[in-house]
Order: sequence, then structure tokens, then C-alpha cells
Amino acid sequence: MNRRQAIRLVTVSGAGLFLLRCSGTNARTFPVKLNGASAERGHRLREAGTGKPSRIEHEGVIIVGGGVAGLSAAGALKEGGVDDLLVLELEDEVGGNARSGANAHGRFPLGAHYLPVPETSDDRLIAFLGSCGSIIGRTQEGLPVYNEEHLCGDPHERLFHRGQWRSGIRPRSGLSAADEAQFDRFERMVEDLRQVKGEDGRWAFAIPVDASSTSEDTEALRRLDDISFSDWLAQLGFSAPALLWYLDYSCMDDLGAPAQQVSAWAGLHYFAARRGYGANAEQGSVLTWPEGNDFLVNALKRPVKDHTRTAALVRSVRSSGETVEVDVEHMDTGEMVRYTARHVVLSVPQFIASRILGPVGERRAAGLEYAPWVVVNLTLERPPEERGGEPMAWDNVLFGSKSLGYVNASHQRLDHPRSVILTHYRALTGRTPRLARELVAGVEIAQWVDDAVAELEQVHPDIRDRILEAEVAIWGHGMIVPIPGFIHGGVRRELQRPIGGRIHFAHSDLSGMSLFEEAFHHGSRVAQEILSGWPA
Amino acid sequence: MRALLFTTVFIIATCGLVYELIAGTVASYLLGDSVTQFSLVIGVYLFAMGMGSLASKYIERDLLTWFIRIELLVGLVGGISSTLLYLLFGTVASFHVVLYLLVFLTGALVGLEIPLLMRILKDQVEFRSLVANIFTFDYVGALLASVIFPLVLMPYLGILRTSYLIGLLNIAVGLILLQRFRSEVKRPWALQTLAVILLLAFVLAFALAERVQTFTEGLAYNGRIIHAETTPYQRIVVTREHDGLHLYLNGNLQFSTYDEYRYHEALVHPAFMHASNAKRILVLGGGDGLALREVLKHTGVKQVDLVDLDPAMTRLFSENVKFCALNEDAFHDPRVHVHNADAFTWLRSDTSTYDVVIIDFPDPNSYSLGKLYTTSFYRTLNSRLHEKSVVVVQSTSPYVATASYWCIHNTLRDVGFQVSPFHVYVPSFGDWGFFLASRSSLVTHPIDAKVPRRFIDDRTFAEATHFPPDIAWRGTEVNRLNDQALVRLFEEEWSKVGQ
Repeated sequence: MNRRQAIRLVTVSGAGLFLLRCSGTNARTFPVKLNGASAERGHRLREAGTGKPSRIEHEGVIIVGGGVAGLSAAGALKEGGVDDLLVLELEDEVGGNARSGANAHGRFPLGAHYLPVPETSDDRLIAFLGSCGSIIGRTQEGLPVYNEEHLCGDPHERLFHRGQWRSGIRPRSGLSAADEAQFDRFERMVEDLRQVKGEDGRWAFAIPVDASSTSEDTEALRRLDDISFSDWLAQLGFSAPALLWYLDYSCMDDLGAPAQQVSAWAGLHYFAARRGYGANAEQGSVLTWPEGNDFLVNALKRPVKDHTRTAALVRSVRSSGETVEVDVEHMDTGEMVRYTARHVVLSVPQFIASRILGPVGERRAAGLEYAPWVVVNLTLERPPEERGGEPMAWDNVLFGSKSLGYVNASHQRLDHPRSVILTHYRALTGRTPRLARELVAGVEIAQWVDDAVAELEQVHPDIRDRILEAEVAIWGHGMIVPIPGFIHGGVRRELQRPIGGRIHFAHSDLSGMSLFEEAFHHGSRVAQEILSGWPA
Repeated sequence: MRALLFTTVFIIATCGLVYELIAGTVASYLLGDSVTQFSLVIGVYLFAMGMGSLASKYIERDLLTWFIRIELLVGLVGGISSTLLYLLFGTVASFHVVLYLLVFLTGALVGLEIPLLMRILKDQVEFRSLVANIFTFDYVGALLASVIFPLVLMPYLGILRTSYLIGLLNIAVGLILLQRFRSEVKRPWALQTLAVILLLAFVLAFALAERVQTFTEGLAYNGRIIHAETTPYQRIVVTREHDGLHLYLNGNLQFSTYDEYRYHEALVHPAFMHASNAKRILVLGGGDGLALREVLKHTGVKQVDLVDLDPAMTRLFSENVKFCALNEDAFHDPRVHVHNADAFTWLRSDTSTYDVVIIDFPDPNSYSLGKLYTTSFYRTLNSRLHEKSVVVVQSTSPYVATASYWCIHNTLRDVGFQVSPFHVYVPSFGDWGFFLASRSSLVTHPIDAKVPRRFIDDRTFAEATHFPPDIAWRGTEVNRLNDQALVRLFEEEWSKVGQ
């Protein structure tokens, strides 16, 4: 089945709040397209496979899952001299939740859309960013020099708070002296935590998570993984509503869940683990592109283009003596193929790995929580009316709203497009991820568009009349949630261990955080795992 | 008579509430923070109504006459309030005072209405049913207003037309009552004349609401607007004052025909004094063709490419006879090629090199314009230059915006250019600055004597390169795409002089 056929086109009435306009003849309509993870394909794994393999093929390494982790693994293996490798991707495009969409007006992210500049010592990631053209050199002191067109353009962020757009996302207006003091105390604390190194010479909070200190003197910090961020905040007397909103926002942004659902260690990691900077990028700078992290995906997939099969549903992975058998249903040709490989990398989330592995993988996904995301891209004929204050930035957040606001996907463009594409992000929280997922499945996609538009109407009164088209990406299992106990509880390490030395695991859920750096790390890690014994 | 008066109650109640909603809406639009604005407007308005009621006891006789007078006054004040607020927003220092005075005045007048009406009707209706009926119509009218305002009036008419329409209704009520009770009204002719004049004025304003915007805008400009258009990129306004023409883009003066020659000669000729044998010229911005006019005076020029984002600009200055006279028909010179494109992306797709590049962008007063003054832009430009190419950049006022001026200098230096600053006096603008930039060191040659000029000569240029201590070089951040220091400096420095 062709993916294009799976795309449903529906029409949303331009009316929402105003009943009158709904019945009026001038109600504007615009097309709405569905994209994102294809639940239909993913859920086919639940059904038993039919038919016998029609042929058998041999490969050195099979990589199941063409997201950032899988592509990183493939690239590192190819670089390490492995030529007989094959990446199998379920969807028609690789990239996972870093994929992008496009229309006549430009490109836009469907999910992950930025990368904070890495630490100056992260040679592997810096080399990769060099290959993408995002880093153009190093200074004599060794500082990376960034391509300024890839660094987030000015203005970066604004917050709609107390009737005005204000610069930055941290609320600053109308805070009482006591609230301001809490912000200061929190900021000083995370500033201190950012500088904490263990006796093992590693940062207490590092990216990737697995590079964090494990020595005894940082044990007390790791124990913060046992309680929720919100409990920890309450214990320390952080109670200012504006601060708590800000921390919830930050957790949702990076971890997909509010402070109540994530561990204190994970919540602090958001603030205390980012130390990257460059010759022309101060600490806290991010790289971003109109198409979001699909820019990075493109650089990852280029060298392994000829080793990639999309629309491939991997039904099972089994150890069989010196090899591993992989049964695949090629959805484009309808063919069933059995591949044998010396090594297999499962670069898929654990709930999928669990199904593919059968009894061996039982309980792999037990206790892992994933947050669903809904990303709505709105193409507007021209920039919408503003409500005063700072001009439109890259990241635009509404104080107190249930969403994460929107990113202007056209922000990084250097030309002057008349139209503008806004990417609205919403993590579904306030309920358990499973319930949220059921909710997602039950809601008409037009309703997601309407929800996003109704929210943005508060700050852009005319936005509904400016919409040319909308594209919705629904990620039922968008992000792993670092619930208390997951990151330092030991399960994670267990899940990273290869089975029989031949079946390897690489996915950001093994870090407990759905970040590009984590996926990239796991891809590189398994590649080393395999290369160290190559040829076995 | 009773039916008529109760209908009156109903209409004036509706109108009264709509005025309140208009004031709340305008206040939230202009000042933001709608909760505060609506809350304060409603409070002040209700309080004013109370004061109006209180004041009604001082009206002892001629109640009907007074009522009609008040109707006309409510219509006038309420009807023009939104227009007044928009007009005064940018011009008065204490906008809040004006806002609440207007709200108070409208509220007080509306507060007078019901007590007066009750007294007019008191002898004709039993008190018990009078009170019941009046308040019923009053509150039902309020409901109607609060429903039709957001659902019908705002979406279909907009704020200005809504105000005019509601003002019109009040005046119509006054006029109808005047016709009906003519014998009981004092000096009916005077009132009727006034009412008709107001009525016509509002009908006219309603029909011309689109133009009212242009008109209110006109007060902000000196002189008479002879051309105005809104393009997807900017608002272009040309005004005439005495014999001079002035071009404004988004309200910022671009040139005045009195002294534009000073600006454009300074922009173009020094670049030629530092280039030898310049044949291929690139002009970025400058859709008015005035820089082009100066460029074409150099007979050695073989080809000029002009890149301006807005086709409406180049069309205006290449097709309109009056404006073509200003640039001496420069757009019709066969050497000139116009490209309507964004300069940044156009430079990317271009493959040729130029001997002289003239950069005449608007000042960096927004982030999107600021992009055209960044290291990335100058690097892109650099790829279209050869070793001997000379670039000139118009760079705002070194007197008003000293740090902004040197920020452009420091940004050009950061990219590796040799940079030479100069500034001249242009009366309409004040002290105005430019930079010459080149990959190799800049050498000044005597100006080509054959080029007709009124301002720039060798000595004028030599003096223009001197910067007195108050505007001398200073260190600033470099302007980058990811950190537009220039836009912030510019905003800060120009806001001090109120632009």
C-alpha cells in the first residue's frame, strides 16, 4: 500500500468560536493533511504474520529502524568498513520523529526541530556537524566555528505573558519579590549543578546521559532520579506559580511530560547538562533549520542511501546459531523475505523490539512510558496580526497554555516569503501516556487543528482567516518519559545489553530522553560494539 | 408615544453598551492586556453612568429638548471615540488619560439618558410598570449589544464602521424624537440642522472608513499625500510639500527632493573614486532609481543590475511620469536590469562579479532588515566581488546612532573587509554615514571631472572622512544572524530621539 493513499484529506471549517460564521457563507475552509507515524502500519505488528518467506538473503548487519539512532549506527558502521549492511524502515521515509513535511510554501518539521550546540569536547558530534556544514571550522583555541545561518536567528524566543509578548521564555513581568527570589535561587542552583564533576572526572549531568558521572561522590545527585521533579521542588520550597509553570514547560519541551511525571534528575538535566558553545555561539545557542532535524537526518542518510529499504515491516528477529534471522514484509512489493545477518541492530523503541523479538523480548517494554505528541503545521498566507510587544521570534510560547506554543518554521529562511509556516507543538499530558494515546486515537484530526487555532487566536486574532493549509503529525509514542527510577534504576543498562552478542539495541528510549544527541550516541555505541568484534 | 419611547430605551441601551465594548476593544488592541483594559473601561464607564444619573437632577425643565441634545452628543462623542483613540495613540504623551476621559464622557452622557426618559414618561405610565418596562428594555438591549458586537459588528464592519454606525443610531433616535415631538421641543430648527449635519457626517465616515485610516495617517506626515499604497512588503507614501516631494516607507522618510542629491551623490561617487574602470555595477535596494541616476552619470558603466524586493517600488519609479523625472528616467536606460527579489537570496543564486556594489537598504529597524547587515550577508556579498571591487553601504546616522554606525563598521571588518568611513550632512536626515569596503586597501583617486555633480568633490569627500571625537570609532558587538546586536542598538539609539 502506498503511503500517499494513507493520507486522508479532510476539510476543516474555518469557524470555531463563532457559530454565526459557521453557518455563514463566507466560512473559510482549508485542507488538512495527516502525517507523522503511521499507526496503521505500526499496529500491523499486533497481527500475526501471514505467508512464508519467498527467498532468503544474506547481509553483514541488518539495522531495524531508520530513525536517528539507526542511521547513526549505519553511518558509523559504513565508516568502519562494513559494506554489507541494510537499514529497514517501516515508513516511506527515514528519520523517525525528526521527519519533515513540505508544501508549495516551504518545508516544516513534523517533530524534532532543533539541536543545542554540543559541548566543545564532543568530537564525534562536532565532526558530524562539520559534515553537514553546520560547523565550518575550528579556531586556533579549538573552538568550533558555527555556520551562522544554521544557528537560531535573532529573535530567539518570546513569551505571551500579562497581555504582551515579552522577550525570553522565562516569565519576568509582574513577579513578586519572593517569586523573583525563587527564580534566582533555582537558577543559581542549576548553574552550580552544571559545574559539578565527579571523582571519575565526568559531569554529574552530561549529554549523553550515559556519560554522566557514576562515582560515589555524585551518588546523592543520582538519587534524585528516585523522586519526581515536582516533589523535589516542593521539598526545596519552590512554590512560585510562574516558576512552576516555567519548569513544567521546560520538562514538557524536552521530556514530553510535566514536572510531576519526570524524575528530579531528569528535570534538572534539562538545565544543568547544556554547556556547549562555540567561537560564534554563546552557551545556550541552538541549531535549527526550516525543516527541523530532518536537516540532520538528510546528512545521516546520504552515505547509506543505497543500503536503505523503506516500507519494510520487520515481523520477527531470531537468533539462529551463528546468525540472526530477520523476517521482513516488504509493503511496497508485498514480498516476504528472510534475511540472515551476523549482527542485527534494533534501533526501534522497546515496545516494538519486544514484539519483534517474541518470547526473548518479553517484558522489554515493561514500565517504559511514552508521551504522545500532536504537531500541527499551519501555513498562513501572510504573517498574522500581532497583539503588541516583541515581534515574532523562532519560539513563541503562551504563558499558562496547555501547548508548548509554536515555532516559526520560516524563521531561518533568508528570503522574504510572503507566507509563513507555524509549527504548533502539544504533548498530551495531565493523564497517563496510555490514556493520552487512546485519546489521540479517538480524536478527529480536524479537531487537533481547531484546538491549535483556537489557542493561537488569543494572540493572533485573525489567524483563522489566514490559513491556507494545515498538516497534522500525530506521534502516538512520541517521546520516552524519564519517570522516576528509570534513568539510574538499572533497567536501562540491562536493556542496552546485546542478546547473544548478535542482537544489539540502539534507541533514545535507552537513555530515557528523546534527544537527537542520545539517539546519535546509541547509534555510535552499537556500531563500536559490532566493529570491535568484526569480522566475528 | 409610549411604544416609541420604549423602543428608544432599547436602542440607546444597545448603543450604550456597544460604546463600552468599543472602548474596551480599542484599549486592548492598543495597550494589550485585555483583562485589565476591559476591567478598567467597564469600571470607569459604569461609574461615569452613575455620575451622569446624578447630574440629571440638575436638569429641571425642557426634558425632551435636553434628551434630544444628549442623544446627538452621545452619538457624536461615542461615534468618533475609536477614531480619536487611534489618532491620538501615537501622538499624545498620556494616552491613558485621554482614553479614560473619553470613556468617562461617553458614560456620563449615557447615564443621563435613562433618568431623563423616566421623568419624561412618569406622568404617562404608572410608576410600577414604568420602572419594570424601562429596565427590561435596558437590560435586553444590553444583551443584544453584547451578542451582536463580537458576532456581527466586529467581524463584518470592523471597529471604525461599528462606531460610526452606533453613533448614527443615537443621532437617528434624536432626529426621530425631534420630528415626532416637534411642538414640545425648544428651537427645533437648530437641533434639526445639527442632527442632519451629524447624520451626514457619519454616513460619509461610514462609507469612507477605509480612507479614514489614510487620512489619520496623513496627519503624521508633513504635506499632502499624492500617492499611497500598501504592498505585501511595505507601505509606500509620497507627499508633496510646497514644491518638494517626499518618499516614506513604513512612515520613515527615504528622501526629500530638496536635498536627496546630497545623499545620493555621497552614496555613489566616492565608491567610483576608489574603483578604477568600473564597468559592472550592482545596486541593492534603491528602488526609487535615484542612486541609479548617479551611477549612470559615469560613462564607463556598461551594466547595472538593481535588486529591489518590492516590484511596486520599481514600477512606481519607472512608470509614473512625475517620479521618472526625479531619477531622469534611469530605469529606461538600456544598461539597467531590474530584479525584484530578496537581495540575500538573489546574491546566492547570482554567479557574476561586480566592480562596484551600492547598498542602499532601509535602516536596520527590524530583524528582517537587520539580516541584510550581518556577517552572513557580507560573506555572501564577498563571493560576488573581486580583489579590486568597491562596496558602499548606507549606514544610518553616526551622530544619532553612533554605536549602530560603528557596529556596521565592525561587522564589515569581522568579515575581512578593509573599511573606510565617511559622513555628510543631508538637511532632511541630519548627519548621515556611509562605509566604503573592499578586499584590498582603499585608494582614493580624484573624482571624474566629467561627471556632473552639485555636492561631492575631492575636498568635500576628504573632509567627510574626518570624525570628531563625539562620534569617533567605538567597539561594539558584531551583527550576526543569531545575535542581531545592530537591531537592538539601532532601536535603543533612535528611540531616544523619538525618531
